Formats: sequence, structure tokens, C-alpha cells
Amino acid sequence: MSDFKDFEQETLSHLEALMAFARRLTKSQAEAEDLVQDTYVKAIRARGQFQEGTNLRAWLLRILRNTFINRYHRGSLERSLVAKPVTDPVSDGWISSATMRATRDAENLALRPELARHICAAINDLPEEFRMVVLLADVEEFAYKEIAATLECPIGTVMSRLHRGRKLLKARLLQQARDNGLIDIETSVGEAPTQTSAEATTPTDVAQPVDLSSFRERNQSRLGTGSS
Amino acid sequence: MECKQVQSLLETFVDGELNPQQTLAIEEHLATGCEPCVERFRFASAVKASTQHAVRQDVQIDDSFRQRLTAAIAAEEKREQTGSGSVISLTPSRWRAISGIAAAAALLLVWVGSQQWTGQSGHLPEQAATSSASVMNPSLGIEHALDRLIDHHSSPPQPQVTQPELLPALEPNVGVRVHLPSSLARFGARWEGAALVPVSNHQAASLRYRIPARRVLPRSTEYPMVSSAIGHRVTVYVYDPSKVPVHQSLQRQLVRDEPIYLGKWRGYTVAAKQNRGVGYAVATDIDDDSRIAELVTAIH
Repeated sequence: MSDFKDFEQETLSHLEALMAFARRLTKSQAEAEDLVQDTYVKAIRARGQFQEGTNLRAWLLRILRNTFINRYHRGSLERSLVAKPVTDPVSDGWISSATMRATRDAENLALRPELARHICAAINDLPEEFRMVVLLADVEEFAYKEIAATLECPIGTVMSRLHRGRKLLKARLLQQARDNGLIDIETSVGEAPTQTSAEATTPTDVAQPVDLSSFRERNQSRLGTGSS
Repeated sequence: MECKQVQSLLETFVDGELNPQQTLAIEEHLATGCEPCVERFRFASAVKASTQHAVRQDVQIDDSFRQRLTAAIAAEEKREQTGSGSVISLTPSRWRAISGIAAAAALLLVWVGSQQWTGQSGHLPEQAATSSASVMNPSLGIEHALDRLIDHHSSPPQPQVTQPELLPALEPNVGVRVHLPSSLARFGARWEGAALVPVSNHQAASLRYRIPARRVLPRSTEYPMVSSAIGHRVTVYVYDPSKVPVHQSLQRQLVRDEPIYLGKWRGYTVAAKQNRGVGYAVATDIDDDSRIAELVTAIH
């Protein structure tokens, strides 16, 4: 049947996107390849269910995700990592503009292999539900609606998981940037939220308390937000 | 818009998911050069871009995986074909075992070369137009043709011609010689009638046969196979193979040096061959590959 060949060709055009997604879900290249291969076979078997003109990539990624969940996770994914609320180093005003600029410059410098690896590691550390949303939003640039359809969840959930996932990612990246000396310790303000002890220094452009714990006390309600 | 509000919407702004008014308000705010907001915007954009870059550069697709993948897809295609729209797989040894003519009633669609009958070279203008249409979408045309033939076989209409001497009347529509293959009589097949079947802008002649309930035949060199079937219907289609190349969606096999094209379509067996430029196709519900093979080879 010719529609088979056409469909095969169309789906293969999304191979890299599927592999990118699979690689971030699985623990090894071999597992990713198996996952992608199984996804293709399932997609071909189910091709009658695909509505021509709709987003094929989203449809394929949905199959991939479901295959992943059923195969590797016996039907469920880890939903949240941290018991306590995650602070956003940027919106909580701990990071100066200078720091952000420096970090951004550092990142630009190295679309460097090490930095890319750090980012991948940071993504791998995200809980899977957050990870998937971040991948679909940042890598595939799906609309929130498309993400919701791919992950089969409400748009509100997409937005909150995206926000939370990115917070975690940003915090991790800032930490890595500092650890790797990519940003100057003097320009950074406060500690990344993953660290338990804070060596707070006064931010230069935003009025902030010197002491982390009193800062947290004063902003309890704000710190309570952002949970998914 | 205030910095506080801008910053709370920034992420959604970077994702392009704000409504037009909000988008415009933020763009205007950033255009004022508000440093903290601009910096946050750039940072958010950079994280997004870095994430995209990092994930994409970590993609590895080597040739061996590509091969495995395409093999898996091909295996799936094959698996499907041996289901409803499929290919009969006949091992060479089974073909070799077929010696005489048995009572199987596989009908072969006969492709008849227009040159053979009309003596003309080339196509008539209107026929050329329709054949080019099927060339543009060749595979769609072929599957549609098989569907039509199976439709006709499974729900045959009243025959239009019931006397053999009147069969030539169908020839102008079909474009090829239409006759009753004499070999089929030896199978005990009874001809019930003929009709015209429209098949993708052309017409085929259908010859309906019924193979009666089996009698146990004495084993002999002429009837080496004793079949266990009850009566079967077989439809032989006669048409111009250059117009309706049904064989393209069937699997080619060699039966005693003759290429035969076989397949299963919607549960029926379809076998086709070409003999001296004539195309013959057969549709039947007989499931026995070897019997069909015998029938196929018999037609000429």
C-alpha cells in the first residue's frame, strides 16, 4: 500500500525529535533506540487513528511517552521531587541583573560541550513530568495547547509544571555556572535554593534582607507559591 | 505595565502564549529599556535557547540504528500484508509439487494487451488520458482496482451475457479479446455469466464460475490432487494490463518459469498473470495456495 510508504516517510522525518525526547527520558542510548523503534512500530500500527492535517510530531511523541510510561514505569511517573516549595532565584530577587547577564554570556560562550552536558544533566534530574513539559516547550516549541494534548493533561497543569520545571532548571544552571567559575562569585547574590546553608550577601540592585532565614520568614507566602 | 507584572508574565511572553494586549504591553515595557526586565527577558530566552541546543546536540542516530529501524518498519509492513491485504507466501517446493490441473478454481485476471486485439499500436487518445491519470497516482489506482474487483466478486450483479458466443460483444468496452478459457472446464468449473466491471476509468470483463462441491476423484496423473472443498465461486477478470496494472500490488512468484502475481485482498485470494500481452486476474475465496497455483498455471 502506498499510504504505508508515505506514512513511513513522514514519520521518519521526525526521527531526530523523537530521539531527542527519548534520550532525555531513558538512561542510555540503547534504551532510547529501543523506545524510538517501538514507538515507530506502534505508530504504524495505529496510523489509521492519526487525523491527517493534525500535528504528527505531537501524535508521535504521545505514543513515545505512553510507551515509555508503560514499559519502563509500569504505568506511572514520579510527580514531584521536592517536598518544600522551590524558590525561584530570579523572581525572588536574589540574582542581580549583572549575574544574569554574566550567566547568559557564559552560556552563550559555551554553547560549549561542557555546558550542554550540564544542561542535559540538569534536565535529567528533573522529575519526569516536569522534564517532559520543559522538553516540549523549550526544545520542540509546542504551544501550551499542543503540550497538553501530547501529555494528555489540562493546560493549567502544563503551565504550572513548566513554571516549576524551569525554576528547578534555572536554579541548577546558576549553581553550575558558579561552581564552574563561569560567573564571578562577587557578582552573585545569595545562594542557589538547593543549598541548605546560605551565605547571603546584599544584592546590589534590589533591597533585600541580609539574612536568608529572615528573608524567607518575611516572604513565606511568596515562597509557598509556584507549587504544581 | 509595572515591572512586577511584566516579570510575572515574562515566561509566558517568551513562550509566545500571551494574548495580543499583554504581548504588546510587555514589548512596550521592554522597549523603554527597563534594565531589570530586559535582563530577565534575555536570561529567560537564553535558558530556553540553551536547553534547546543542549538537548538537540545530544542526539545520536547512527547508521546501524537507522537500519534496524527501517527493518522493523518493513517487518511491520510485511506482517500487515499477511493479514488482510496481503501476499501469499508459497515456498518454491510447493510450487514444484504442482503437476497437473486440479479442481481448484482460482481465477486469474487476464491482462490483455491492446495491441494483441486491436492490432493498433499505442493508445486511443481518450484512453491515453485516463491511463496517464492512473500513472499519476499509480498505487491509489491499483488498490482501488483491487477493491472494485473484490466488490464485484463478493457481491456479483446479474450477468449481462450468458451465452459464450455473445462474449465478443464485450470486447469494445474492455479493449481486449474476451473468451472463456478452455482449461477451466477441466476443473469442473461451470460458467455462470459475464458482465462488465468498471475499474478505474476502464472496464474489465468478469467471467463468473462456480466449482461444484467436490467429488472424490480417483487418483491419477491427471488429477493428482484431491481437494476437500465444497463449491467455490471464482471470478475471472479479463482486461488490458497496460491500463489496469493490478500485478503491481501483488507479489511476483515464478511457477514453472512463468511469473504469477499473487495476493490476498480483504480475505479473498487474487492471482494475476500475463500471457502473450494479455492480463488475467482471478478472485476467489479458495484458501488453498497450491490449488490456486494449479489453476493459475492452467490458464492460457
